[in-house]
Amino acid sequence: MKIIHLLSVAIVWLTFQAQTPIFAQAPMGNVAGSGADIAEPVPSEALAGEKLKKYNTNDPIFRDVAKEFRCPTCTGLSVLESDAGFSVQIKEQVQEQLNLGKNHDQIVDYFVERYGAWILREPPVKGFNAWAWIVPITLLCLGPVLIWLLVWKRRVKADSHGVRSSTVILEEMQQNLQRLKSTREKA
Amino acid sequence: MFANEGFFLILLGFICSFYGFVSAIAAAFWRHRRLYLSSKLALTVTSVVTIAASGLIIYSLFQRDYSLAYVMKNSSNDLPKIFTLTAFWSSLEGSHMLWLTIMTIVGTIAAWTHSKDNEHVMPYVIAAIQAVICWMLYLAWSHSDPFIANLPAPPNGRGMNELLQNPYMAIHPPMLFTGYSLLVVPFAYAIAALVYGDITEGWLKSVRRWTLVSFVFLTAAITLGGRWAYVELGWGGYWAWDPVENSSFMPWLMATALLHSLLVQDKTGHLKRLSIVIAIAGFFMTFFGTFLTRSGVVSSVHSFAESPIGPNYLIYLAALMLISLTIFAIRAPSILPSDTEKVWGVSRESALVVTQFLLISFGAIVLIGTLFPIVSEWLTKQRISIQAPYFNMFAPWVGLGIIFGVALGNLFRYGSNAMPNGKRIILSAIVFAIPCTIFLVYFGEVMATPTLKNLIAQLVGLYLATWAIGCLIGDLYYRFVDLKFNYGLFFKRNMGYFGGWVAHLGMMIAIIGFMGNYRGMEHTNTVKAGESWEFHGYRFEFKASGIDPRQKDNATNYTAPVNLYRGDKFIEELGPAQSKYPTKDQTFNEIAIAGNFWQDVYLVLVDFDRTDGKRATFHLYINPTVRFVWLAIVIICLGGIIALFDKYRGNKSRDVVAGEWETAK
Repeated sequence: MKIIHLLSVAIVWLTFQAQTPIFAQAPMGNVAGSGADIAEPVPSEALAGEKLKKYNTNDPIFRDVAKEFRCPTCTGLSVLESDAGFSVQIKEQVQEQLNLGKNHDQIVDYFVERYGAWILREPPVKGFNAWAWIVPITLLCLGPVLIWLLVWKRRVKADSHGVRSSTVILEEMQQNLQRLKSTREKA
Repeated sequence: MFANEGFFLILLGFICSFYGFVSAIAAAFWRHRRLYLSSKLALTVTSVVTIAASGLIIYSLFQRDYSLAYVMKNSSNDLPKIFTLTAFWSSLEGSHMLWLTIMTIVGTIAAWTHSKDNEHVMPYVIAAIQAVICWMLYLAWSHSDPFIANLPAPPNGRGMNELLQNPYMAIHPPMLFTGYSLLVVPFAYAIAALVYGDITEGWLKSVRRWTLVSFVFLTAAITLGGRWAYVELGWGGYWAWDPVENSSFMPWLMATALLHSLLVQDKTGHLKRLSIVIAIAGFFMTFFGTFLTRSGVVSSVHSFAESPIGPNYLIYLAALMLISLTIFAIRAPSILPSDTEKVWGVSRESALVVTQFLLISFGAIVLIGTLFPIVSEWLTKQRISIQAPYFNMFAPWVGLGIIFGVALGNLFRYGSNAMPNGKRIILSAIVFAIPCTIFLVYFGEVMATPTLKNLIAQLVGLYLATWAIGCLIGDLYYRFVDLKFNYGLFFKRNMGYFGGWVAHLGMMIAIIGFMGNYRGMEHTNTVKAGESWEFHGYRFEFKASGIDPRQKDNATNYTAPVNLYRGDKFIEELGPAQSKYPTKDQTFNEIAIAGNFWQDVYLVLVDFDRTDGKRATFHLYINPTVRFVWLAIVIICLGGIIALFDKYRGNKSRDVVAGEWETAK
C-alpha cells in the first residue's frame, strides 16, 4: 500500500510539474543569444531600416529560432529544413525580427500571435496539451514499478530450500485438474 | 481496355474469398474436413485471381493503355521501364491492390505450409485471413477500384509522382506491404487460439516464424523508406517522425515486442495471453497506420494517396477492434495459465518483460504523438502540431532503457536470478568500453558537438552503447567457454540465440548511429561560379563552368558541379542538381552525397540563377555516423534471418494435447 501511496504522490507531482515552467524548456530549447541582455525595448521603425545586426541563415541564433516553427505546407519539417515558399517567407520574417533586436521568446510569441500555436513544432505545455507529456512520462516512470510489483507478487510459493513442497504441488495439481474439467465442460 | 475484365476479376476474388470465409467457419463449426479443404482451395483461387488482376494492371501500364484511369494518372509515355512497373504502387488504388495481392499469397502459403500440430486450428486461421482479404477486396471494387475506365483514351498520361521516381521507391513499398501482410498470420493464429480455446504445440513455432519473417521485412522496408527520404527529399535527414513513418514504425515495434513475448512463452510458458494481445495489436496497427495516412486525417508528405476510403477504414478498424476484443474477453479465460513454476523475480524472463514494456510504451508514445493533434483539435478546437522535437525528447530515454535491457538482460538465465560470470562480463565490458568510446569519439568527431549538454549526452550514450556491446561479446564468449569452444555444437543448437545476439549487436550499432542525428552540422551558402567556401575541414569549389543541364532518363538535371577537397586533397566532384521532369513545371532536389564511413557530406542545390547559371545557393549538411545506421540495419536483418534457422525443440506452453478431426474424413 505504501508504494501505491508513493505512486499517487509521484503522479500528482508530475502533473504539477508539467504545468510549471520547468517543462516549458522542452519546446523552447536553449534560449539563444542570452535573451536577458537583448531584452531592451523594440527599436523604432526608422532604426529597423539600418539593420542593427545582420543575422544570416548560418547564424546559430537565427537557426535556433527558425527551428521552432513548422513548415506550413509540408509535414514533419521545420522551416529551417524546408525551402518551400511559405518557409522561405517565415525565415525572412524571422531574420527581420532578429534585425529589429527581438529575442528568441519574443519572436516565438510574435509568430504564435500571428499564426496560432499550430506554427510551433511542439505546442506549449499548457492546459490540455500538457497531457501529451504527462501520459508518456507517467507511463515510462510507472511502468517499471508496476511490472516490478506484479512480478514480485507472483513469485512462487517456495519453501526455504527453493523447492516446492509436496503439499503445494498436490494443491496445484488439483487446481489444474479443476481448471481442465471446467474448460472441457464449457467447450 | 481491361477495365471490365479487371473489375470482373476483383469481383470474382471477392465472391471467392467470401465463400472461403463462410466455408472455413462452417468447417470449424462442424469440424468438417472436406469443407476445410474447400476453404483452403478458395483461398488459393483468391490469390490466383488477385495476382491476375495485378498482372492486368502491370500489363496495361506497359502497354501505356490510358483508357484505364489509373494508368492515365500515374504514368506517361516518357516514363522509363523500371518506373513503369513501380507506377503500379505509386498511388492509392495500386498500392491497395499490391497489399491485397501479397496478403493473398501470404495467406495461401500459410494455409498450405502449416505444421501438422496446427491442423485443428487451421479453419479458424483461414477464416480470419479470409475475413481480412474479403474486406480488402470489397474496398478494391467499391472505393479504390484500379480498373476505372477513362474513355476516350488520351494520347499521354499525367505522369508519375516525381518524388517516387527513385530506385528505393521500387523496393520500399513491396517490402513494407509484405511485412504488413505477414503480420496477418500471427493475428489469425491469435484469433484461432482464442476461438479454439487453447494454445497448442505448433502454435508458437508457426507464429514465431511468421513474426520473424515479418520483422525482417519491416526492418528492411522502414530503412529503405528512410534511405529514400535521405536521398530524395533533401532536408538532410532520414527520419522526420512524419505520421507516415510513424505508422510504419508502430507495427515494427509490435512485431519486435511479440518476438520477445513469444520467447518468454517458449521458455517458461508464461505470457500466452500477452502474446495474443500483441499479435492482434500489431496487425491492427498496420491498418491503423494506413487509415491515418490514407484518409487525410493527418496530412503528410505522402498525402498524394488520399481518397474517400477513410470512413470505410474507420468502420473496419472499429469492427476489427470490437470483434477482437469481444473474442478476447469471452475466450481469454480458456487460455490456461502455464503450469510451470512461476519463478519471476530478477531473471531473464523479467528482463524480457521489461523489454516488451519499453517497446510497447514507445509504440504508445509514437501513437500519442501522432494522434494528439487530432484529439486536441477535436476537444479544444485549436490546431496544434506535434513534430520531431517531441519524439526526439522521448527517444533517447527509451534508447537508454533498451541499452540496459540488452546489456544486462542477456546475461540472466531463465527461471533464476543467477548471472553466470555476470560480474566478470560486466566489469570487463566497463573496461572494454573505454577505448571503444575514445575511438568513436575521435573518428566520429564527437567533441565538435555544439552544446555542452548535448556533448555530455553523446559521451554517456556512446559509452553505454559500447558497454552493452562488450556485455554481448562477453556473454557469447562464456557460452563458447561452456561448450569448450565446440562451435559445431553451438551453431547446431543455438541459432535462435545467435540470431538474437546478432540483431542486438546491430541494435547497439544503430543506436550509436542514431546519436549522430543529435550532433549534425549544416551550412547555407550562395556562391558565384569559380568561388569556393570552406566548412568543417572541407573545401567546396563551385566550378567556373556554372550550372550544367544534363539529361537523365526522362528528366533534365540542372547540375552544379562542385569539387570537394579535404584540406588540399581533391576527393571527388559532386553534382547536386535540380531535376526538371517533362510533366511538371516544378523542379526537384537531386542530392549529392560524399564522405566516408564516419560522416556523410550531403550537398543540396537549393537555387540557382536561371539566366546564366553562374550563381547558386547550396545547403550543406555534415551528417555523422549515418552509414552506421545502414550497416546496423543490415546486421539486424541478418540476425533475424539467422534466427529463422533455429531448430525448434518443443515448448513448455502446451497444456492440452492437440485435438483430432472428429468427423469422418
